[in-house]
Amino acid sequence: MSFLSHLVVALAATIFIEFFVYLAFICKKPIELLLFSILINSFTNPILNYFYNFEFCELYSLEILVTLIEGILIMLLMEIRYYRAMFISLAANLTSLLIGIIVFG
Amino acid sequence: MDLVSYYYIIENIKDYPDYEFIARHDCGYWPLSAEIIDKTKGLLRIPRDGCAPYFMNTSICVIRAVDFNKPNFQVNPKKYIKKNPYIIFSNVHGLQNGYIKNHNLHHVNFYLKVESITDNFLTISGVKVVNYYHDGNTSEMLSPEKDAYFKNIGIFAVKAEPNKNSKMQKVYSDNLSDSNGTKNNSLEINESRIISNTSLNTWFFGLPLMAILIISFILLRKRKEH
Repeated sequence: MSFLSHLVVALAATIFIEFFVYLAFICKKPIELLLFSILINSFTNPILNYFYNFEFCELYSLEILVTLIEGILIMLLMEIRYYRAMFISLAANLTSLLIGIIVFG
Repeated sequence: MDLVSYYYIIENIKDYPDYEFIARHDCGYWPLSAEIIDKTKGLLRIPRDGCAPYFMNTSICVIRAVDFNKPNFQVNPKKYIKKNPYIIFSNVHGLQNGYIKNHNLHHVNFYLKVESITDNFLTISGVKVVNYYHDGNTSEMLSPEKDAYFKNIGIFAVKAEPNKNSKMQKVYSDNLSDSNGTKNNSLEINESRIISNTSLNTWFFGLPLMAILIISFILLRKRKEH
């Protein structure tokens, strides 16, 4: 499996995990939530992986930054309050991080 | 699915006594461990512990022997590799154990060769692939199958991984042009490797750019609707 294939698998897994977290909190318009998950993670995931793999930034610092950025995007796209968006973003990123740690070790 | 061991042998590792060769093992994109490659044999085995075989991949890097602090490396190999500005990365990412359905096959040896080590980049090429069977026979893999195998384990043009804080990076920048402004040939090769790495560039920069453009479009539409 090439490096790029790993990145594709990681992005696909993140999109689906975070979609289900969005769905658990928002409970409506699943197609729209899936689209938002695809767009948000297509923006943040490759950038996170670039800085993690090539610039050797700390994973947890990057995750915090990604959570903040995703929180803002969730607030704007899903038109919900800032604190709720941040909470959903935190839950989504924690879930994907924990699943990643369990699966990848 | 049978897991057949892949062994990687760097044939001319002894020609580089001033360098320590290090293998970094990742599970997906999570660093697992790192180890010094035995210079007497140049042999590298991919570990099977701690990660699903499908996700395990290994990359090779070097460090000048004079810059290598073995005790520090042994305390925390992962951290040592990650934080060390003297580490010189290579084109080889994604060395794996194999998945081959051929039950006659015992193991596969990949013979690699160090082409060059610059201040910034280690270039490794593939020499040959030899299949070893349970009945004692061997066979050498021929092109294009051999080339495909090498491509799968990462021996193709990829971006160097210069660390911005690295002294090596500074040397690289300083040496890009000589006093007459003409480029050093060996560095030009590295530069072409960076430019040719379009798929990774598209992934890391093109995809986020496309996503943020679509997000901006959606937000603009939402604003107009309101």
